[in-house]
Amino acid sequence: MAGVSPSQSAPAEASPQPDDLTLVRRAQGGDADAYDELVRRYQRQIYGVVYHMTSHHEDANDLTQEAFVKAWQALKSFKGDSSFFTWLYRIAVNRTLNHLKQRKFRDSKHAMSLNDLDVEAENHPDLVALVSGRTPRRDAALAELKEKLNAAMQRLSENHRVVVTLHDIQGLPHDEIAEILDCNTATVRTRLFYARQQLQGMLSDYLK
Amino acid sequence: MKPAPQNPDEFESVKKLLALKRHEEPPPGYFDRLPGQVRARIAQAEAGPEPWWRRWAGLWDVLPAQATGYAAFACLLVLGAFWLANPSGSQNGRQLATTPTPPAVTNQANAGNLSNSAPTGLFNTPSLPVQPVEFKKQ
Repeated sequence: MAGVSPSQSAPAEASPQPDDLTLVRRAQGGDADAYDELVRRYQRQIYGVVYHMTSHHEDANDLTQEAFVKAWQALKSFKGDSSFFTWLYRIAVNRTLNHLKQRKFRDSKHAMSLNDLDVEAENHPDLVALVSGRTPRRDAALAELKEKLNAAMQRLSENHRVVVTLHDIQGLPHDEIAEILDCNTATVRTRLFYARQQLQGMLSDYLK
Repeated sequence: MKPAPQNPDEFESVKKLLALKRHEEPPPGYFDRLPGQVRARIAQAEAGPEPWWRRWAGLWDVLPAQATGYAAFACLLVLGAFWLANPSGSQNGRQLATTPTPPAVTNQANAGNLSNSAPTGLFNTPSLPVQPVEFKKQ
């Protein structure tokens, strides 16, 4: 679920596959296969943003599907003013924010996130460097750090969490995020600053 | 309120930690199944069209500004209809407030009943010849 920017994900230059707009025009004409291709192209990013916002796989699965269904239903209203990627992201983010508002106090029992971090990532030098060296308690510290990070993410407001997710996890640039969230770049930067500040405060015991 | 000047390395640890979340993966094979599931949901949605209120609620996700506009317009319609229907009622209300109304006959009758005395026949039982009883020790 690596952070991928739209320019990286658009395969027009890299392969002979049709670009997004061509697929969108075909899908607008009722071509379900073209829409399938768009789903395949962006499913990882859309699932990623929803998943990091909710920290819950089942919710992320449901919301991702809903976002793609809504995008299909609203496809005729897509005029191409923004890229399809941005438009689709906006639908997914709005749907997720509405979902989070409805379930403000979610059951923490269902929360799971970095539990599914793969082994390779657990041995990633950055993560190893973040937890206290090669002590016998490293694994316990790592698990605790994962839990702490997820809890800290969930304690951020939705507006802060979405900015952190889109920028620091998914790697989208500020202007792209501003377009998705329908706000200006300064707002994105401000939210990002405060979100990081809060995370740093909450995780201060675990960060060097 | 603007954030303080940001040192590029200030949040380096947090950024590295967050970047590691990119390695999180859903269960294996999930992305192979997802397009089929989306297609099935689209087919299901098209087979049984959603009621208007669900379509409207869904508009909040796609075009939140437009949905808010529709909601505001609907509220204005309801308030306007209420206001148009109400002037005659409010005029009557003012008349009632300013014009003294003669006391109704029924009110006078009720006013009598509001005195402290209980209705006849309820507590004022007809007097009976009651003799005091004497208890004698035997």
